[in-house]
Amino acid sequence: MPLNRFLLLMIALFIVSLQTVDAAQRHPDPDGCFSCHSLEGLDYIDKKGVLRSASINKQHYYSALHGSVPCKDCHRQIRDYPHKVENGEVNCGESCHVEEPSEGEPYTHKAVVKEYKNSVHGDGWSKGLTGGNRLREEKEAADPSCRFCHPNELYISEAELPKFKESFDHLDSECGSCHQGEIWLGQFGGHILRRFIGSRWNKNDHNKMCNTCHADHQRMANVEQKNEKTGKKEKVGPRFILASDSYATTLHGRLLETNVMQGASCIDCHAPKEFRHGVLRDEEKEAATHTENLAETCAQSGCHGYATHPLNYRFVKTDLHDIDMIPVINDIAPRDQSRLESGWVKALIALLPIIIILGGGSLLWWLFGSKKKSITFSVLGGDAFQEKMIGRKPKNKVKKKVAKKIKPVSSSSEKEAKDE
Amino acid sequence: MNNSYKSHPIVMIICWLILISPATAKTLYQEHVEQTEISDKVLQKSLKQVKKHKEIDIIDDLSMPPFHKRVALPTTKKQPFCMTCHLPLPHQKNERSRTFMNMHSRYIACETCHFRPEKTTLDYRWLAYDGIEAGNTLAPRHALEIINESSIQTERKHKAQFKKRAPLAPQPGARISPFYNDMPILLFKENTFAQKIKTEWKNADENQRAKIKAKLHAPLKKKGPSCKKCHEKDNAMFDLEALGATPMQIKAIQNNIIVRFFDRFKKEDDRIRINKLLQ
Repeated sequence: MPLNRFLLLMIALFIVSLQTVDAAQRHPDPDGCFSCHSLEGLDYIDKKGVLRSASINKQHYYSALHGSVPCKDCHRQIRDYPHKVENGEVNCGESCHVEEPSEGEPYTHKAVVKEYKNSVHGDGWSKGLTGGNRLREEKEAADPSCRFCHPNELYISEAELPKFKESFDHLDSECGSCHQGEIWLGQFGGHILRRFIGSRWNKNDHNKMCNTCHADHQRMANVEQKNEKTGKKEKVGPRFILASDSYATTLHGRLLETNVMQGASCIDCHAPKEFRHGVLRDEEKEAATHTENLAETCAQSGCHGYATHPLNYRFVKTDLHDIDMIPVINDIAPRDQSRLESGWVKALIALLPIIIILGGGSLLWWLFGSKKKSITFSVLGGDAFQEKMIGRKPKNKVKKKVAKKIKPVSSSSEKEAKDE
Repeated sequence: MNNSYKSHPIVMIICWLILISPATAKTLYQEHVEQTEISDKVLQKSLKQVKKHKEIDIIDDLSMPPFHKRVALPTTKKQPFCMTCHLPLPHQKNERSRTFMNMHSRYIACETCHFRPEKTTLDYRWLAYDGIEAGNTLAPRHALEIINESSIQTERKHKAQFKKRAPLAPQPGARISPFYNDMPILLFKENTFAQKIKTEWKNADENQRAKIKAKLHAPLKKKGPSCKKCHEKDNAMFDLEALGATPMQIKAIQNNIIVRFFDRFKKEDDRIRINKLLQ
């Protein structure tokens, strides 16, 4: 090979070796916010008595869901110090400067926020969020805000870390041959490889989130819903208040409680589509739980595929929030008038005369009946039962035997009487 | 020399004397309080403050979780007398400095900033608020290292700690506190004088409370020293080396960008662009 060709080949190889797939380095704190906010103990108690903290745990922040989001992407208007409260307000529906890894577009929660705003929880706060208005939100807002369900948690929870490390190690060696450098691993690797350990939240995590409010009877008792007939807002009934309890008695709830993930979680039925934030009232036509949509909802993801078959139309009529399944003794029961219409109550009314007759009879027998001990036989015989199950001789034989035994006793006593 | 610093008899006697001294002798602060004569003007001001005062219940159990992870407030076994009335995070009003001041209160005693009598030279040392040594003077961290020098294992441990940017405080909860004649100036809540004041306050009416408040605050300065007073190289309030600071720590304290940024504020209501922080 001529020397100039060899040199050209070497130069070409050198250039190619430089072209490893790499990403531009991010700077998670381009505005220098951590110069102050990474200090521990930047706390104070505000006028209302709420403990406030301006300290951000740097290590936690970088490992959390928003770890790659610079502070100013959320706290947009902060420019001077002391910070004006209104300048720090967060709007979760804004786009941030972080690129969505697959398409390179600015990342945003806009679509999720839109779905959430159209849902039953849509009156909750999605903007104007500051550390200082948590107390106001707690007092004023009945619906959960974005931050109520989604604090800045670790991207990979501590419990899942060993599993993640295992997956990461493997894929680091596999992908690392092309994708070199920590930047790629940090920016994309972690994001992609996170998927290998499953979705971030499992069904029980979803239920736990819903139960934060829905298992709180007192909180639920304060909920008001618009009455479609009158158009007025009214307090919800026991069926709504006890929804979490009634769900827990179903097979779905019980499967998940024992960590069998075949059970359906709350949002599997109430918000199965899109971003899973669109919980709607059953009465609304678009609701996944609307009578007309129930078959499709039950048949989703291979759960109850037969639910859509016309012959199985009664399947979707199964009540998954049947409050008759909940023990009567609970803090909501005294207010529960609807329970009088229950099938259980109707059966009780029908059986009441028989219960009274039998109970009364038993009581009278106990008070005034014969106290003598005797062998009791069933009225309709049942000799085979007596013999095989109890191991006693049948009625006829027992009577004869008793009669035989009695005779000699009575004759001897007669003799004794005569002797005297 | 004995390897164990704590078990040396002379050190033990000194520690013991320090331990019992507050119970037997009056602190300089206490003396100042008792000698103070309150003017009518001060008394009226104090009465106004007592009448205006509203108790604050700290709310730390909101069901609305803070978005960013938070660490619980540290507590100490011993608490200063000031905390009988003042909140554990006492700086509330000044929007600009409150968080930074509260941060400093984690390692600097209240009296260090607010008790600065004129014509009296005070000495500043580490005082334990927590642990088995709570209430005792603590040797600075570097002194502890010198004493433990003979133990290679301990030395290695300390080197490892320094790699992780070991804190300046010799133990968690310790605070730089003022001393006069080798005696700490501050009082802890359980001190006899502190207890006496607490009982008097409980049984007092508004006028009497105003008098107690005025007397207790008379030796104190409402405003603490400026940042520079501790963070500058010359005429600094503390001898950082004597307090155990490493050369790197001294440099970090004396060349602090936040202090330089705060130095730009000229008026109380000034707002300054954050990018000046980096200039």
